[in-house]
Order: sequence, then C-alpha cells, then structure tokens
Amino acid sequence: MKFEPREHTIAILFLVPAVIGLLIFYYYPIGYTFVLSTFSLDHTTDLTANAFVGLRNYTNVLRSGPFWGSIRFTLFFTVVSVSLELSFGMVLALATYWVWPRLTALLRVIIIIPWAIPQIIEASMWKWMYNTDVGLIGDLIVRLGLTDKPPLFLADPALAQWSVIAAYVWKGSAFAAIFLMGGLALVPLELHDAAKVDGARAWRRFWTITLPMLMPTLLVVLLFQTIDGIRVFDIVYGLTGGGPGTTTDTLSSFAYKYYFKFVQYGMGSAYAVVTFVLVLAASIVYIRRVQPHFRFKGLE
Amino acid sequence: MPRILAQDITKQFRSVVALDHVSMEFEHGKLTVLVGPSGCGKTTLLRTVAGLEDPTSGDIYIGERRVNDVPPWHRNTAMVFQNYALYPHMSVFDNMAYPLKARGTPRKEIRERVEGTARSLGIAELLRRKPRELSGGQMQRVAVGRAIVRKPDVFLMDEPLSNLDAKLRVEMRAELKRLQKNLGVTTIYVTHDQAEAMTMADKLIVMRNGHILQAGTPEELYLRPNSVFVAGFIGSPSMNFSGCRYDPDRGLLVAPAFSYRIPEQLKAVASHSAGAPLVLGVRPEDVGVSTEPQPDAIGATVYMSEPLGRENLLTLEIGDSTFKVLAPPEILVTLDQRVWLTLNERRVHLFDDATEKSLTNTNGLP
Amino acid sequence: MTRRQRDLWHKILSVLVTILLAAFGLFPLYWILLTSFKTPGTEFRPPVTYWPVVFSLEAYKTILGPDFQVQRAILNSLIVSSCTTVGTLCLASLAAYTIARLKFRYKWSSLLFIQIASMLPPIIVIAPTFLIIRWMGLLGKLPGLIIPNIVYNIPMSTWLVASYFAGLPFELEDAAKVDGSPPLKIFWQIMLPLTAPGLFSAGVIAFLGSWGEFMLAFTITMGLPQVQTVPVAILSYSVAFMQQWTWISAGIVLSLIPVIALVVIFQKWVVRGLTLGSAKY
Repeated sequence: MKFEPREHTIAILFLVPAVIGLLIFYYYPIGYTFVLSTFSLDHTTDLTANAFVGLRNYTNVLRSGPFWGSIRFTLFFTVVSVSLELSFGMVLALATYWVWPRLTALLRVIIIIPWAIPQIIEASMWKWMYNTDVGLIGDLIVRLGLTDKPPLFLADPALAQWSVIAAYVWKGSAFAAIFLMGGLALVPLELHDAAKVDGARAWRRFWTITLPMLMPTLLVVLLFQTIDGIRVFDIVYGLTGGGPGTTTDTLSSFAYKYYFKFVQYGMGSAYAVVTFVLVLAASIVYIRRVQPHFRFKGLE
Repeated sequence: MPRILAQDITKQFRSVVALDHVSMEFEHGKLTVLVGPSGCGKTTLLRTVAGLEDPTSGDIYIGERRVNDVPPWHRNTAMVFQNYALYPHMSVFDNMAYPLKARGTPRKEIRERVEGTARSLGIAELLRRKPRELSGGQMQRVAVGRAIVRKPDVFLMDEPLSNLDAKLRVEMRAELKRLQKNLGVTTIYVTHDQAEAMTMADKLIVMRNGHILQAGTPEELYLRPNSVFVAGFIGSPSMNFSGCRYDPDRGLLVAPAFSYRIPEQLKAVASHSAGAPLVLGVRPEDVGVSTEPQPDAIGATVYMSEPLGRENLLTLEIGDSTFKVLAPPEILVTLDQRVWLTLNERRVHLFDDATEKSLTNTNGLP
Repeated sequence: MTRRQRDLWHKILSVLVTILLAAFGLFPLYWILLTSFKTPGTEFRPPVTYWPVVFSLEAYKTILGPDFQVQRAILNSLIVSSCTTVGTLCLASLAAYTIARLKFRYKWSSLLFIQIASMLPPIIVIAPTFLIIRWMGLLGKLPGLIIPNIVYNIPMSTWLVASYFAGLPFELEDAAKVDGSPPLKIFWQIMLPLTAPGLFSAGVIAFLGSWGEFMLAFTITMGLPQVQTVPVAILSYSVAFMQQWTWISAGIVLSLIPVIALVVIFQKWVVRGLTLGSAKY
C-alpha cells in the first residue's frame, strides 16, 4: 500500500491527541493498578515504603470467601441479566415495528428514556420503590394478592439479588431494544414481502428471516451487555451497597470498597485486576469467535 | 388456472392516489403486461393482487374467490421482485425450498421439486451457493425458480429484468415468455420498458397516474393508440407530433411549419371538430424520404443523421418543429440538405389537442 | 375476519401495547414524580397512594434551598458534560478521520488500541486516575472530571464518527485533492461538515454518558457539594438524609429534566448513533 509521507504525517498528528489521552487515563492506570496489586498499601499509596508483597494479595483474594461470593454473584448476575435483556429488548424492538405507525415514535421515546437515566439515579429510584413499608413494588404485590406483607426486597439476602437484577434489567432491556431496533431496520422490507407471498406467516418469518438477519446486531449487543454485566457497579452501589452483607457485591463494588472504604490500595487493586482479567477473557472469546465475520467498511 | 379480476380498485396513500377506480380482467393463462412511467400505479396494482397492499376500495377476485380479506400467504400467488429479494442467509436450495417448507411439504418431495426446477432453469450446480456468490442473471433465475417451484395459480413479476444488462435482458425476455407459455400460468408482468412490454405481452395495458389508458394486444396499441400519451409511449423512436388545424375548404391540416393534405378516411372526424386545435401524429417508420421534390410532400431540412445499420434515423427540421424519420440506408443525405417527406396515409393519427384523445381510435377510452 | 376488522384490532392492540409498555418503562419516573409532590414526611404514611392526596411543593423548595442547592449540581453536570462533549468530538473526529479515510499503515492497530479501552471496567483505572488527578492538583475541581471523561468517551465517539466517515464516497477527497487542497483543508472544510449527523449523534451520546458517569465523579468530588455532579449529589442526599424521599425525589425530578428533554428532542440521533456503530458491521 503506497502512502505519501505527508498524509502519513497528518495521520499520526491527528491520532496523537486521542492516543495520548488514552495512554494517560487508560493504559498507564491499568499498568499501575497491576503494580499496586503487588504491594501491601494500607491507607497509603507510597510505594517506596518497602511494602512489596508480590502475589500475596492474590492469595488473600483467592482465599477470601466474600470474594468468591462476589464472583459467583457477578457471573450469575451477568448470565441472568443478559438473557432477560436480550429477550425483553427483542420484544420491545419488535413492538416498535409492529405497532401502528403513528405510535412508533412515541414508543421509541418511551424506550430510550430508561436508557438515558443515569444508573446511579435509577438505583435511588428503585431503592425507594423497593421500600418495604411504602414502596410501590411491595404495594403492588400485596394488592395483586401474591403475599400479605410486602417482602424485604433489599434486606432479604435471597431476594436482594433478584431485586438488583430486576432494576438493572429494566434499563438494560432498553439499551438492547435500541440496538435491536437499528438491527431490524437493516432487514430489507422486500424480504418480508417475498416471504409473505411465499406463504410464511409472522411467526415463521420471525424465526427464518428476521432472527438470522439480526445475528450480527445480536452478537454486538451480547458483547456489550456481557461486558457491562461483568463490570457493573453503579446499580449495586446505589441500591444495596453490596448488601445485605456482601450478598449483592459484584466484583467492581467489592473492589471499590477495598479502595475507598477500607483504603487498602493493594488489595483493591488485586480485585480490580481479577475483574479486568475476566472482562478481557470475555472480550477475547468474543473477538476470536465472532470478529472474523465482520469487516469495517472503508478500511480495505 | 383462474383468471384475475380487479374491480374498481382505488388505493390511496395519505394524499397520493396511486390507483383511481381501476378495473381490469387478467385472462387465464395469459401474460398481461402493465406498462407505464414511474408512479403510474402498475406496481401498486400488482402488489394489491399479491395481497401486499390493501385496496382503499374495490375488490380483487382470483378465480371465483374474492380475496380482499385473504392474506398473501393464502393466495397461492408467486412473485418475482425487481431486486430478486433472495434470502441472503440461505443457500439457493433453501431459497427455492422456502415456499414449499412454509406449506409443510415433506422433505423428500421438496428435494425432488427443487432439484427438478433448478435443472430446468440451468442452475442445478448452484444449489449450495449463497446469493451473494451469484451473478445478476443467476440470481434472477433463482428468483424465478422460487416462484415456479410451487406451481402457483398466478405469477406476479415486478420489473424482474430491470437490473440485468441489456444483452442478458433480451435473452431472458424470451426465456420468461417461453416459460410462461409452457406452464400456462396466468401472469401479470410489470415493466417501464415499452420494448419489453411489446415483445412479451399477450395483452398490454398502459397506465398513467393511477388510471388505465388503454388495454389491448401490442398490435392494437401500436396501430390504434387511443391517446397522445399511448401513441407516444409505445414504439421507439416515438411518434412525431405536430399541432395543427383542419381547413375544410382546402382539405388541409394546417400546422405552423407545413400543410398536409388530409387523408380521406380522416375527413369525417376532422370536420366534426370544426376548427378546434388538433394534433397530427405519425411514426418515424411511416414517413418516406426523398431527396427530390414530390407532389404533396412536406419540405424539411436535415439536422442530423444517425446510421443504425439496417436503417438511418434522420432528425429533420420543419420550421421550428423537429421530425424524426427512419429511412432506408440507401438514401444518403448530408447535413442541412433539403428533403421531401411523404406520410403513409393509412398510418396518420389525429388527436384532439385539448383532450389528447384520438379522434379515430376510441377503444378503451372512458 | 375482514381486512378492515383486522386493521381495527391492530390499532386497538397497538394502543394497548403502547400503554402497557409506557407503564412498564415509565412507572419509576411516575412514582418519583408522585413522591416529589407529597408533603415531606407524609411519604411514609400508609396507605400507599397513586395520586397525590395533597399537592405540595415543599420538597422542591427544600431541595433548591440553601441546604442542598440541587441546581448547583445540575449546573456542574451541565458544565462537565458540555465540555466533555466538545473535547471528545475534537479528539474523536480527528482520530476517526484518520482511521476511516487516510492511508496509514497502522489503521487497524489504532482502531484496536482505541476500542479495547472501551471494554475495560472502570474499576481497573480508578485508583491510579485518582492519583493522577491528585498529582495534577485537580482533585475536587471540575476540570479533574472533564479531562478523564473526555478520554472515556473517545472510543465510542471515534467508532461512531468513523463509521460515518466510512459511509461517505471516496470521490469527494479525490476531487478535492485534484483541486489542490492540502489534507488539513480537506478535513476541515469538506469532510467534517459532511459528517455533521455522525458528530451530532456522537455528541449526544457523549453528553449523556458523561452526565451519568458516577464512579469517577464520586471519587474526584470527594464529598465537596460545590463540585458534585448530579449523580453524586443525588446519592449523597439519599445517604446523608436517609429517609427524606420527597426531597430526594424532587432532586431526581429536577435533574432528569435536562436529560429527558435532550432525549426526547434528539431521539432520532440517539438511535441512529447507537445502532450505526453496530450497523456498519
């Protein structure tokens, strides 16, 4: 590929600001966190105080019961959330296309709003709704006759996990729906016409035409949602703070506590590194499996 | 194999009237062509028959059955689309098998029928390929294959050849026509190309702005167009038109640039119109050219000469008007040469300028 | 069933579905709105009501008053998000142009370099970032939030704008080159204006993203109410004043007004932006 020196220089110049920014605030911090994880840093970040401990933090991590709890919950959380988000999102996206055309724009706005609300604010909203005495959700459940007393959504260890998942899925489905709406738009209308004439009713058309053609978009959504699930923080922190105890701690919230509650920079970093590795693993799996199918137009 | 009846169909999209009280019978076993400029409603009519559009008012019958409320998947029609609409994620085999699978045909039968159809279309070796690996012509055949594999009551074709290059298009025309004859399926064919329409149609329907202007055999529309539009639309190069008036005392049609002795058979209708503005029409192939002055001939100057091989297309100027004439290759002319034109009396048309309707051919006019 | 009847059912069901989805999608908002109009203290009195018994603006007065000044947080968020958007768009459009259009040996690797960053959990960078900001002396100051946020939004914006660039015909640049324009001018005068829609979408998304960013804001603002952004402020209310849900709700309502307004007005750009990234696959 021939390229003029001038254009090459311009290219580098254009990229430099972004690259520098990323280096300073992404790549350097990542490396530094790795370094921090090998030190024992109690209420200090001074590395010169001879606190190098190698991998001892990691052994502590692996021995910590709450840590394994947080991994278990994070994985559970991710799997359940992603499944629910994709399903609901699919239904929502299809609804915007099925509905009487005048209502489509309205429906789209309704779907986008949950996505736009900051996650931490959403957490506060749900916290109030989950309030045992006067919360909306408890009240509705009692009115529907499912139980006589509103349950302890956030205090009951078994229930709290599902409460967090529900709140997260509420917003996540909207995100998935938006993506899937775009994906649906890519399916040429003509194919539906052809399928109709060929004898396919709506159900068959969905499974044999729409869904296969939606695959690229679905996979992208799957990736984003999975990564978001593993690194979830805001909703947990805002809704339960990881509680009761540590039953709803995810990797990120757990690590954050070590950083800024216990102020153990070393241990916190170790946890952060573990989270990082998991996310990286998921991304690599995805890229290996799926990326070969996709090419970015304009780069050829 | 049933006939199709469209009765008083009107289709309105918001403020646009795509079809305006259109009625037409599509004869059983025949290839009927809908032709006209973009937006004339031909595709809308086709889609209404398919069930992809719902008429605002009017009825559609397939055979004896009123199908207004019958969804497309129950109408037993097959459609070939302009862009083929092949399912990109499926192989050619699966594309063709789709309509059979949708109807619950047993797998063995599907395989036999698909392979058989593929063989008859010459695409048997492509069955495992995906659409994106095929050429335009091959995709077109697959689309046709998908349509015929299920033996439908009706074929609907929406400009199926428009995306092919010229040579392939001409080849495929003949093939499609033969296919239709062999299968004997009632077919509605939509195109904007008048040459294609002429070669393929058993019956030809010219549409414009949601109306049917004229319906008949290609010959009828060619020889006896009922309006300026049909006369100008059918036939290439198009008919020459010139505004004129009838002077009954001298028996002349007087145009700005020339006068022409009116043929006998037109005298009666011309006198009815009593001095109203008329339009004279004559096809380029119905005009004789001579380099020597002729009695009753119209004088013209050569503006351009395009040799087409078997004939020359001459563009002539008569006063301010332009006339196109197809002349035999033996007649050699040079630019700005003066020539004399004789019109074939039996092929001259007269239209009323205001209504644009033919004075002689009133068939098919409302 | 006739076509007419089916159409009617379709319309009726559509309205029902929309109402149902609206209920599901917006009930949290409604509940918060409702709570914000209750007299402070009454929100704990049973029975649970779905319509205000007494309509009161007390909560709003309090939350806007000297103790909380939620409007300050909103202002901070506006500042941070606007600056972030501008900064991100500048850096991202440059990078996007390079990746999508210029002949450059390291295109794919640059893209990878940029994109991988977006996949990482914030937790892995939070500690060193905190240290860096502290070292820069920007702890507890708005620029300390703006600068990292610009970087955080670069991957997404670059991706969006790049796919937009990629969609433009190549002949444009060739024509300009033949006309003798230097590359910089081509970028500034021709390509950039043409990607306006892509920039717009990227901008809206960056704005919303930085508005809702929590972990960094929380860490950097360190309990200083003057510089808190909206997410941090709201959380601090619910932590510090545990049960004053009318106040908290009022704060939430006020803080959501800009967000919802933005989304409603620019919904087309949002959808287009979010899906353009994946649609180009």
